[in-house]
Amino acid sequence: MIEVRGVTKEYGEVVAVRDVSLEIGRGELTVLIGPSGCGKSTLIRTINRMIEPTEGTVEIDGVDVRESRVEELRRGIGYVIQTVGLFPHFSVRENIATVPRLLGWERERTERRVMELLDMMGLHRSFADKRPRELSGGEAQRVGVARALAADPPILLMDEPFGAVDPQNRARLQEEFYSIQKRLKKTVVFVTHDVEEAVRLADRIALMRAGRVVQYTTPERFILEPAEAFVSEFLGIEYPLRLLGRHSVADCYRKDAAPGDTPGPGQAVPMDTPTREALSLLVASGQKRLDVVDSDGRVVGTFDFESVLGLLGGGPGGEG
Amino acid sequence: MAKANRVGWIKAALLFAAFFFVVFRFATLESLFPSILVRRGIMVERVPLWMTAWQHVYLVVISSAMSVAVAVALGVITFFPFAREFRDLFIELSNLGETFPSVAIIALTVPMLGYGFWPVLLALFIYGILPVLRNTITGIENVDPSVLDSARGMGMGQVETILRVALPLALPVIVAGIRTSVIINIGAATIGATVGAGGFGIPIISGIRSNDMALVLRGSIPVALLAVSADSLFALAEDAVSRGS
Repeated sequence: MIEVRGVTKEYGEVVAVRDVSLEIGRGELTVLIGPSGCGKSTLIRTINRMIEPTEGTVEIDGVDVRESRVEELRRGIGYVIQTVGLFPHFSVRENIATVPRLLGWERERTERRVMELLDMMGLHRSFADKRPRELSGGEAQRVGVARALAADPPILLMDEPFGAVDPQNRARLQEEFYSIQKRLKKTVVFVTHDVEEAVRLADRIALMRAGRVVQYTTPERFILEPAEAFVSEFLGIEYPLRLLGRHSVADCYRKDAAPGDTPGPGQAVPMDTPTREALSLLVASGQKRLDVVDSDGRVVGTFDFESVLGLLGGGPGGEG
Repeated sequence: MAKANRVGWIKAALLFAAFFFVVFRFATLESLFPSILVRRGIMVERVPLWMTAWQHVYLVVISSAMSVAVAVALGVITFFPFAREFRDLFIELSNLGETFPSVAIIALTVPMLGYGFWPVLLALFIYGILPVLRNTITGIENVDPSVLDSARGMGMGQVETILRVALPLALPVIVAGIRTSVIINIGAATIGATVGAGGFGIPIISGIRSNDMALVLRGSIPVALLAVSADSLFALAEDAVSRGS
């Protein structure tokens, strides 16, 4: 668990972060979001001491980050930045092996780990011998994530990691990272200014403005109890719809089907459809309800506006 | 890319071949262009041309090697907190050095060390430091800050960040500085003859004194060839190091 306590960072007259306190749960993905200049990047960098706060403390599992040697602290925290920052004079292998090398791992162990990470990132093993300039933006960012994960650190800091990638690739990277994160259960702090990205990935979102955390809660709570007008303003009018993308029909349909029901023509949605798409289908159908079918095409229940409302009002549900 | 490189290699090889030909077979050249190159015969050749060449190259190689070692070390040191304040001073000095003629440095070292090899070596050494020092500093300063940021963020120490990341990435710029330094010193070393350090300056200066154009060319043709061949070699080196990064 990461505990940020009363952290303030001043640059002369300018206050970048103002008395921020956050508790980031183990294995959770916390997104820091806010307009540019809100202090989110400064805040994330206080965790691995790339920036020393003017006031306040950061603790990891109850230990002040200032207690260990700064290099050792950083070797235990994965770090991914927007510009990737791969070492251009190292091969992909050497890039990924940076922290294992610093930690003095044996060559074979490092090599095994590099291959494992290339597989995990969906990169062909032959990439190990490439130079960063031979990679596309998306590939470079995958290597950046692999490098951060190399020594299997419990914590990952990601500062707009997919910000420089084109939208299509970004969505792919987000999806891949989401499934990797579900498996690895790292404690992730993720900075972005993209609401869509935040909604897609976050367990919790800390919305920041002018150096302060305006609200820190689950994505669903932002709709139910926005702390101030700025919250709804920043998240945008389509935020509830975006939120539906986190869930599938399986999370919210009404199980009211009688055995043996067959779906009417053109009115069925498969259970694994994202709720956002299902809602769109519902609107397009001109009906008030759609049949929900399982993978065998059997009707298992109903999807209607009530289902959607249940999802948004029902607090943090399961994630799709 | 490989093709451009092959052209570079061929060019360098031809230039060096020309240099060695001139140094060892100057007589052949004389027989080809007797009207320009054959001396009036008053001057007796005391030192063979290859010996002159050796003195010249020796002076340049030793002084440049020392310059590079000292300049890169000084440049790197400015990136450590304890020596940060020297950075501006070094840049100032390097810029000043550009306007300060190398003859003037020799004029200063002779009273210190007397005539001969040493004052010239010292002058060339000092003069050679400046371009390398400036390029080492600017080269490291121009390394992509996000690369240094991630190096620090991964947990590399300061020494490691500079030696394993910043310095290798600055290498093309540093090599460019070494190139400038060596080429300047090849030219500047000719002045060494005035204070008895030998080199291609000997025939040039004797030639000027006795108004013997052929003798002047006997020194200036090889020194010019040496400069362009060294330059072509450094072009290859620059190419190689910037490809590596």
